Amino acid sequence: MTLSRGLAVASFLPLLSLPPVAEPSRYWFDDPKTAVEVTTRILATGAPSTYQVVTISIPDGLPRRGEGRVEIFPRKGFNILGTHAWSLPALDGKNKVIGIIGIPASARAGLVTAADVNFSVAGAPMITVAIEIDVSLIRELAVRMQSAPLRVRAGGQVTFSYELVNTGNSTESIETSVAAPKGWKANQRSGSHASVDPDQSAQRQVVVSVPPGVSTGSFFLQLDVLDKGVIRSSIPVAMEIVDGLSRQASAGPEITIAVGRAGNATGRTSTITTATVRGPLFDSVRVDARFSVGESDVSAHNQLLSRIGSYKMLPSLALTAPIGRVAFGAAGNSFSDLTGLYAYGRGVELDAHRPGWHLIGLGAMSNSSASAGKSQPLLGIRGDVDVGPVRMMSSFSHLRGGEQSGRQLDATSFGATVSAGFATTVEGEVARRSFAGGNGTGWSTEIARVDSRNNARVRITHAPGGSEAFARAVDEVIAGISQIVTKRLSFSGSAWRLSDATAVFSRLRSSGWAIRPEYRVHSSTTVAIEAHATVAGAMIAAGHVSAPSGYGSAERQVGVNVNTNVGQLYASGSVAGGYATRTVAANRSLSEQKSPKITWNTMGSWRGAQTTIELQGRMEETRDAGGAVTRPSQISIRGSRILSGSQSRGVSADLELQQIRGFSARPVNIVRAGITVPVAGTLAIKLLAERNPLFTASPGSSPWTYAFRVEHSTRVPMMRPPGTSGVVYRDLNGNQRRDEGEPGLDGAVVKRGPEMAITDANGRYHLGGDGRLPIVLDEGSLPLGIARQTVGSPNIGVGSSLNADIRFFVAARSDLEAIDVDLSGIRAVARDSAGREWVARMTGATVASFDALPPGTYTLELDLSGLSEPLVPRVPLPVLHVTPFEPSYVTVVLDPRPLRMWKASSSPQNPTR
Amino acid sequence: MIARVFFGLALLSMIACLQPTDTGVSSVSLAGRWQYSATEAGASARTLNGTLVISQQSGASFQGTLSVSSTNTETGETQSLAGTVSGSAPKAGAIDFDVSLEQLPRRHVGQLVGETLTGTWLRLSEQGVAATGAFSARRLRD
Repeated sequence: MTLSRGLAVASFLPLLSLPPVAEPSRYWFDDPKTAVEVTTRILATGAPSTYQVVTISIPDGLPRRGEGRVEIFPRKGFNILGTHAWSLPALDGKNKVIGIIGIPASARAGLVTAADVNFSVAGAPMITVAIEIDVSLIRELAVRMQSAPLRVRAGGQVTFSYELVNTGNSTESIETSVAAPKGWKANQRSGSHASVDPDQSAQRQVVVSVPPGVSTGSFFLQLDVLDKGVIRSSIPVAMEIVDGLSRQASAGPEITIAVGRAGNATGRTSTITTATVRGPLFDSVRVDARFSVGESDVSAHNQLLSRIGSYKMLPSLALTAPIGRVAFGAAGNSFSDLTGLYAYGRGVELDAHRPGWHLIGLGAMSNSSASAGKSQPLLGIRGDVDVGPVRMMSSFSHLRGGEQSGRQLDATSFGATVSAGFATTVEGEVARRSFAGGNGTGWSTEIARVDSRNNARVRITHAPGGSEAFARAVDEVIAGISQIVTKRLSFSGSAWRLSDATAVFSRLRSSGWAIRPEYRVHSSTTVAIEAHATVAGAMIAAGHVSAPSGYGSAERQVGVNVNTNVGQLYASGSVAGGYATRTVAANRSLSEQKSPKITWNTMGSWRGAQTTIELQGRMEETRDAGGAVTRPSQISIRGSRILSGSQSRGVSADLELQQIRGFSARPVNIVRAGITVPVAGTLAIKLLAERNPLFTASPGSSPWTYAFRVEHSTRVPMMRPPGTSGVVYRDLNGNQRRDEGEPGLDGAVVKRGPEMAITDANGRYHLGGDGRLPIVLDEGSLPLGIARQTVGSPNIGVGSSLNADIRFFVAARSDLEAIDVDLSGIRAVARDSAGREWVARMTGATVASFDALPPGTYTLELDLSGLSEPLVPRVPLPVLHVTPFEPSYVTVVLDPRPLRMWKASSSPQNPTR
Repeated sequence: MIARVFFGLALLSMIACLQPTDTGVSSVSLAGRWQYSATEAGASARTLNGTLVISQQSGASFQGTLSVSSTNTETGETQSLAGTVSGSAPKAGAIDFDVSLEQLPRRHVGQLVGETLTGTWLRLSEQGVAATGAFSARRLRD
C-alpha cells in the first residue's frame, strides 16, 4: 500500500520539478565555430523513497554517428529505474530522453548529486551533465525510553535514560527540559541541548532527586523536546516512590494494652484490663497473644464492656507460620465426626501441614469449675497422608469434658478419601468409640461433588454415644446441594435427619428440608423463594426433672426474599407465612397448638464515606388455637459518623436506637451512644453509654450504664529482622562473584512475591516475604545498558551488556570453486549456564551479532534450515566467551553438504562417488 | 408467581390483623422476677445464670425478658446475653416458652412446682438440634 502510494506520487512529481537554473558550458565537436552551449547540470526535487522522472536534453549539434551513447551513472545510494543508456544514432530526430531516478530513504535533505549523464561520441570530447536533486526535508525525531515505572525511595536519587533517535533526513538541533513535582530536582547530565544527525541517536541521562518526606505512590515527570521554543514532543515519565525497606521489615507485632471500666448510677463498677500482642514476630511467623485481668458479674456491665472490646479473655499464645499453627493456653480442635468435635480446654493445640500430609493435635485439660467439676484431659491427634491418589487418615482421641459434664470419648479411627473423577470425592471412616454408657463401632461416609458451578454433598454418620461423646448426634443424614443453573438462576437445597440421646433427653429426633431458588433480576438485585419444613421431637430422660415427658415442634413456612444494592444503598426484605405446631406431652396427655405464623424482616442501610445509617425491622405474628394473637416486633436505627480524621485514626461517633414491642406492657426502648477519640498517636479513648431495660433486674427500672476504654497501642520491631539481606553490585570483570572494588548499585528494585525492596547507596537491600520464593531483580529499575549478569541470589551482579559476533566462513566445496550463499537466513542462539537464550541478528553478509550479552560463557546453537544452499556447521561449535576486556567473537565454518553422485548404472545402495 | 406469593402473604397478614386478641385465663401467676439458671450440654457446654422477668401475663400467654451470663464450662469464657421471653401455659400443665437470646429461640418446657420452675430446653437450627439443656427458675421475692 505504502509502495503504490509512493509510486503514484512519483509519477506526478517530475512534472512539477522543472530545473530552475543551469549554468551553461560551451562545447564544440567538429568545428569550434559550431560550438554549442550545454547545461552542466539538471535539477529536480523529490522526497526520499520516491522515484523522480528527469528530462535529459541532448545537446544540439551532438553528432549522431558511430557508437555515440547517452548513459546515466547513478551516484551511491541512487538507482536508475528502467533504461539508463541510449545509442545516439537511435535517437536521431530526438532532442531529449527520460530517466527515472530512485532517491534512497537515507538521502539527506538538500541539493545532492544523484547521477551523472555522459554524452559520448567517438572522436569528440565527452560531455558530462550532473543530475542534482533537491531532496525534501523530512523531520522525524523519536524519543525512546523504558516503559516500566522508575522506582526510588523518598529522599533518594534515580537516574533515567532516554534516547533521541533521528529518523529524518536532516540534523536536528533541539532542547530538552524535564518538569518535576515541586521540591524535586531534575538534572540533565548532558545538558539541555542536543544535536542529532540523521540516522543517528543520542543517549541522554537525567538524575532526579526526590525530597525526603514524599509519600509512597506514583508520580509523573514531564520530558519535553523543544525546537526553537516550540514543544515538538512531550512524554510523561512514571516514577514510583517505594518504601526504603521491605514493607514487612518495619511491621513488627502491635502491643495493645487497654483498661475498660463500666458502671452505673448506683456506683457499682466493673473493670477489665486486657493486653494483646498481634503481628509478625519474625520472618513468616505471626504471633497472637492475649491476656485479661478482672471480670464482672453484672450482665449489663459485661455486655457494654464487650461492645467496646474489653472482655474476659483466656490467656493464650498462638504462633502461625506457613507450615502451620501452634497455640498455648486456650486450645481446641476437632478431629473427625467419629473421634471428636469441638474439644476445647487449656493446653496446646497443633496444626501442621506440608504437601502430602497434615497433622493436627490437642493436649489440654478441661476447665475446672463448680458446675463442670474437676478438670480432665483432652487428648487427640489426627494424621492425614497422601498415598498416590488416596488420602489416608487415622485419628486417636481421649476426651473428657469435665468431671460433671458427662461428655467423654475414647476413639480410634481409620479412613480414606479418594477422588472418583468428575470433581467427585468419596470419603469413609470407621472408628471404635467408647463412651460413658458403653461402646460401639461408628462409621461415616460422604460423597461430594464440587466444581465451579455445583456443590453437592451427602453425608451419613453413625456415632454411638452421640453428642454426649463429642459427636453431633448418634445418627445423622445430611444432604445439600448448591447449583448455578443459569447466569441468573441458582438453587440451593438441603435435607437432614438426625437422632440423638443426651443426659436430659432419652430421644431427640429432628428432620427437615429447605429449598431456596434465587433469581438475579438485575446485577444488584436478587429475588429468592424460601421454603422450609422442620420437625423435632424430644423425649425427656426418665428420672429427670419436670413433669412433661416430651415435646415437639414442627414448622412449615414459605416466603420471598428480595435483596438490592444500588450505589451506597443496600436494602433487604423478606416475608414468610406458614404454620408452627408445638406439642407437649405431660401427665399422660398431649396438647397441641397449631398456629399460623407470619414473619416479616426488612433492613436498609446507606454507607457514605463518613457516615453510615442502618435501619432494621422485624415482626413475627402467631395466633394460638383460641385466636389469641402475639405480635412481637423490633425496629432499630443505627448511625455512625467519622467526625474528623480518617476511618482508622479519626474521631467517630455511634448512635443506636432500638424498640422492642410485644414483651411487656410498654415498649422496650434501648438507647446506645458512643464516641471514639484518638488522643495521641498511639492512645485512644472509647466512651459508650447505654440504657437497656433487657438487662434490668427490676421491672420498670432502666438505669443508664456507661463504659469507657483507654487503649494504648504500640508497634515494636520484630525479634530478628525478617527476610534476606543481599547486595546488587557491578560485576565489572564478569566473573559472576563480587570482588573487591566492585561497587554496589543504588536504586535497584528486588522483589519476592508481594514484597519489594530497593537498594541503598551501597547496593544493599533487605527483603521479607516467604523465604521459599526466589528473589527477582526488576531489570526495569536498572540504568540503560545494564543487565543482570549473575544467577541466583541474594548477591546479584549486574553489568554493562556487551556485543558479540559470530563470523561465518563458508568453506569451498572440494574440487569446486567457493560457493556464494546468502546467509541472512541463519538463526543463531547463545545460551548461558542458566539456560537463558539470546538471539543474534545478521548485521552483515557473514556476521551475526548479539547486541546485549552479559559477560559470561555461552554455548551456541545454529539453525541453518532457512538457507537456500544446504550448509552444515563444522563441529564442535566454538564456545562464545564474552568479557569486557577484549572483543568477543567466534568464527564458525560452514561446510557445504557433501554431494553424492552415482553412475547411471549404479544403485543408491552401491553408490560410487 | 412472585406477585401471587406477595398477594397471598399480604392477605394472610390482613386476616390475622382483623382477629381479636384473646386474653384467655391462666391458672397460675407467673409475673415477677425469677432467678434463672440453665445448663447447655453437647459441643459447647455452658452454664447460664441470670434473671427472668415476666412482665405481663394475659390468660395463658405471658411475656417478659431474660438476661444471663453464659460461661463456657470447658474454657471459662463468659459472655452476657439478654433477650425476650414469650410463652404460654398449655392445658397439659406444662409451662412452654421461647427465649430469644440468639437469632434462633430456645424453647423451654417445664413445670411449676411451688415457687420453682424446672424443665428442659432445646434450640432448633435450620439443620437440626443446635443445643439442648436443662433449666430451673426460682421466684424472687422483692
